Amino acid sequence: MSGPLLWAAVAGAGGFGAIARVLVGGAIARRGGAPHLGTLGVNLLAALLAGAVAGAGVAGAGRWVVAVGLLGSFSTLSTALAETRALALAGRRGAAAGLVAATLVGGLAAAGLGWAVSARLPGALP
Amino acid sequence: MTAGRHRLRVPAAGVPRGARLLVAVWLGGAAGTTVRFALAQGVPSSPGAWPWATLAANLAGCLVLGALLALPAGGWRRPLVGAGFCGALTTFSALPVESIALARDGAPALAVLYAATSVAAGLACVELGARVAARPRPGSA
Repeated sequence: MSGPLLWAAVAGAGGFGAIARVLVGGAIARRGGAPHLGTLGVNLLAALLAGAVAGAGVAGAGRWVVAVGLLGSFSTLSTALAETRALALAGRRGAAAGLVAATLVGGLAAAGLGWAVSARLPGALP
Repeated sequence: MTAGRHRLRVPAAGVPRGARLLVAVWLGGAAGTTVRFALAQGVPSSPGAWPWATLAANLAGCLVLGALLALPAGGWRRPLVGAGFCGALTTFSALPVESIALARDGAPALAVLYAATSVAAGLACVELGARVAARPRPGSA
């Protein structure tokens, strides 16, 4: 897959990734009682899956559509940081710092876990 | 405190719901992803090198979202441009994967610097966007 078809597939996957982020993030936020918990949950899940895609050695169109299109759009940095700023402005500086730390450290751990597990699966590319 | 800062999740008049909301998010998400994909194609990352394309997409999206959230909510603006376009233009999943790849390629310091820069500069862009959008315009009351 290349050319216009690849661009359409990446864009379409990105649209569905955004919808999944709104639905899954909204569901987590309702259970957790705070919008930023939904964004955090979505981002950590996306990091786990993106790590698995990288660890499996997926390349070419599959990587563009799944990692860049679907998971790239499912996760978001702008909302996470806007929510961090809102927490800080509301005087909840500890929660703001905790959100940044949980996102970064949790994201690295999730991506590393996904990477390590998928790299050991049979069928993973070297 | 500027009005509008805390309206992120508060429903406003004329906000699309149900299927219309999802259409707005899909359209914005597809557009944001296309811009990020174009950056990735135009500025290909090489092993061990600073991921410029992802950083550029993330900072641009933070700037726009910061401005959007400082403007009054209502209508299609937030689902289309906020959750859709900015949410998809920026990405988090690539950040730890690119950091791990940098560390594996023998550049662990660059990996840490890249992750820290993405967050610190992203926060600065959200703040900058909010301040620019909240600034009174010449001619307005």
